[in-house]
Amino acid sequence: MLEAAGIPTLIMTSAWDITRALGPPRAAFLHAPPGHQTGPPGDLLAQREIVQAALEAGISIEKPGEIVDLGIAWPRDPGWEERAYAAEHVETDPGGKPKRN
Amino acid sequence: MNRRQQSEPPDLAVGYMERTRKLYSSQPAYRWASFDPESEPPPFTPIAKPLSSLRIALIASGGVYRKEQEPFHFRNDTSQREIAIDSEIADLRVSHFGYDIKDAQLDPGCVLPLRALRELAAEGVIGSLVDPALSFMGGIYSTRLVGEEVAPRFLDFVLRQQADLAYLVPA
Repeated sequence: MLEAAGIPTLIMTSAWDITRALGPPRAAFLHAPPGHQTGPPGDLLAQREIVQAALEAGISIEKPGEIVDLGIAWPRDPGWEERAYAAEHVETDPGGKPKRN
Repeated sequence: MNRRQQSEPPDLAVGYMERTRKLYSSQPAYRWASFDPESEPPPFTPIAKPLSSLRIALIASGGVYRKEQEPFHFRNDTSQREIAIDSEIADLRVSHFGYDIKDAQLDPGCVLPLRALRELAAEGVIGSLVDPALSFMGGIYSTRLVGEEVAPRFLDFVLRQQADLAYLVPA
């Protein structure tokens, strides 16, 4: 809606498949755990690096719908990919519904 | 930085759609949006200025709010909070159900990068940062409400602030 009204947008994402399905005009992908879209807690340098990289990549997108992979590694918390929203790692209530945080 | 074909996720990228299907398999299947930018390109407004001249509005959905503001609730809360961009970590709180907020509570910069953007503005990497930032809680189940209530308010805000770019940060 913003883009159609003449406001360029850039969306950050750490969920490539969901973003691909939505098809926003410009997206910058960071491979990071949920809740860490702009970096690790307490690490301002990493947050600056991520934000700057996203903005620089984003404004250079020329093809509508492109997602740029920032290619920044997430070295912390090994194994987070297996746990993120994975059914076997989430408690469920007796009805099978995942419990909230 | 890697540019790749639209349909190829990076090798490491987590398959969230498949995982949430399994996680919520006891519920009716979620109807994901599907959009093919190859056959149906999204709207696209070219960016006419260099980054160092851009006035950037931050809009983030991680559920951050200032301590004197109301927390977000979890029943399709479509409200927004205006967050002064010089807010300190000690001034900020987080309420969201869709992700583990522990690290965001320690440092909201994980999901609302105020200080990073302030510094980039001070150093001339970006032109300027709109004050305030907009924060909302992205766990809204109703796409109708998002379209009818949330998005128009964002558009109004960005237009009033004369932003050159809306920088959207999910949690």
